[in-house]
Amino acid sequence: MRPAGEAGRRVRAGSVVFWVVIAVIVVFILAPLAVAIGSSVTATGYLTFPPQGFTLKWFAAAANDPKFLDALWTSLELGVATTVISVLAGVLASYAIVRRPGVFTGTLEQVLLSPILLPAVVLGLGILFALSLSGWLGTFPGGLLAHVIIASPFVTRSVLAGLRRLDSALEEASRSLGAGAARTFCRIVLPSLRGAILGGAVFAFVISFDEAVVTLFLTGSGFTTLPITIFTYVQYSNNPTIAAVSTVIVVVSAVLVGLVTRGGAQDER
Amino acid sequence: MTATLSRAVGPPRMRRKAPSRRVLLLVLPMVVVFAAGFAVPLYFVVRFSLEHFDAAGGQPWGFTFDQFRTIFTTPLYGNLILRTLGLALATTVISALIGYPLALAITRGPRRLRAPLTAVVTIPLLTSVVVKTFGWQVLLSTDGLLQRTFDAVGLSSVKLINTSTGVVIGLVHTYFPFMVISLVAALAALDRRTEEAAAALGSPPGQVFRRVTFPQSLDGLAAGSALTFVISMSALITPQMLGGGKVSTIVTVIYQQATTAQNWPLASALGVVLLIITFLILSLQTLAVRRATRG
Repeated sequence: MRPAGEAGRRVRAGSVVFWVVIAVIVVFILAPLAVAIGSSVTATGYLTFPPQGFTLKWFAAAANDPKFLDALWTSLELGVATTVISVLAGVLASYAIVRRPGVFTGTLEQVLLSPILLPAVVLGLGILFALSLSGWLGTFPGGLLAHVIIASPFVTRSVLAGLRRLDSALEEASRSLGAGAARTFCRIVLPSLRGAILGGAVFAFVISFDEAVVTLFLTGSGFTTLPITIFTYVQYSNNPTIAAVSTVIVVVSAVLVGLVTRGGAQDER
Repeated sequence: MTATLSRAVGPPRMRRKAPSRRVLLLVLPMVVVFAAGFAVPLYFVVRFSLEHFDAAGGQPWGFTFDQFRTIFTTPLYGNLILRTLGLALATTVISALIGYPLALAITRGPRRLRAPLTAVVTIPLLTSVVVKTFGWQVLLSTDGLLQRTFDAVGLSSVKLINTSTGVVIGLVHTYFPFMVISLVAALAALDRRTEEAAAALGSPPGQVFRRVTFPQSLDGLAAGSALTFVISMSALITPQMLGGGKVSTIVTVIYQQATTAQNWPLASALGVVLLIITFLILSLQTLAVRRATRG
């Protein structure tokens, strides 16, 4: 099947061009991340890429800045709380949607997934109104409500898919052997959904940890997250500390995603 | 297939055993959260869009189309909507141009490259948009690597930071993974035997692609384009950070009106306009796909 003659040369030249294009695209994709990480070790007092010299002092500066530490802590708490609520409420709702199909649950599925496609800015605007009219603006619970709306669709979507792959005959067998509904759910359904729940949970955490648009509408003196702190900081400062903070975020996200893709690959095997 | 089958056959038997009160109990937590964080906020956006500016915050509710009249009769807002659509269109087209080769490489390239290339697409998708855009800020700034490269090759008239060009670069980088994911799904689902048959019958690779592969991936391209378009149209962080206040879109104006200017009615009306455009584009795409599959 080896292509011969001029046509073969054209094919090979075409495929070289193709892979050069792919390489350029890959560089384009990784460039800003490389810049964020690379400029965190520059010895200059301002942001520059490629970095000049090597120092870790910007990491020390970031670790000693309460502004970043507080924001990091809030982001972690918010991410964990968002994930827990999304998983608990999402698994229950998904179970009802898949096992009791009907007009109500069908509509509910559409609504629960719709924040994925809804412009985040509209959601941020609406939640800003709701929270400021009820006096919850700039508080942790207010931010948590917003983050659950944004992150839970990813849990719901993942668990719905997992449930639809699951053979309902397993549950029927368990029920006919005398196990109650709750027992069947805990002993049969939940263990089978482990992969789907874990995948959705990590996604929800990362979405919450990285969220900036809706949160930007809701931050106040008492409540700010790490992405918002970075966003505000870069508007007025050219200090490499921000690159060090960004590096930490990239590493955390990459590790989490790596863990999940590996777990997913093992599941498939 | 299995899903539709079990939906059609399995559950009705179980429905008899369980009262629907149990269903309500199961969905209750999510319904409460969505009522408070989704339904009520959307109601407020629609309600405030029909409000006078001076009535914002506490006064008796009024009713007026003033905000929409302002948006549709002032050239300023007309241009704003056009610019937003233009940025989203440019982002979508460029995303398709770089997303298609990448999706081909993932689905048709060597197996060992599949995982690394997929990771390359996924990592930026799951990295904070603030961090990515910060990286671009450093690269695109007046003394940044990319701008200096442009200057060196005689393209110094092209300015990257605080321009539409820079914003589109940032938008493409942030949202092209959605295009790749749609295209990969379409290309992976495509029956490879049609390509093999065309090749076996003597079509050169280029022709196989043009006549067999590409036409069959159009659905994926349409889905990816619609998604990329609506999501990039709604971007806030990228135009804010790379536009430096010089590139305004519907979304950056909504943000300014809602926070700095405290003009909730105008911000809401612009939000409703954005919602309607989003809805129209998504319905158009669904319609197109439905027509294609029927015909």
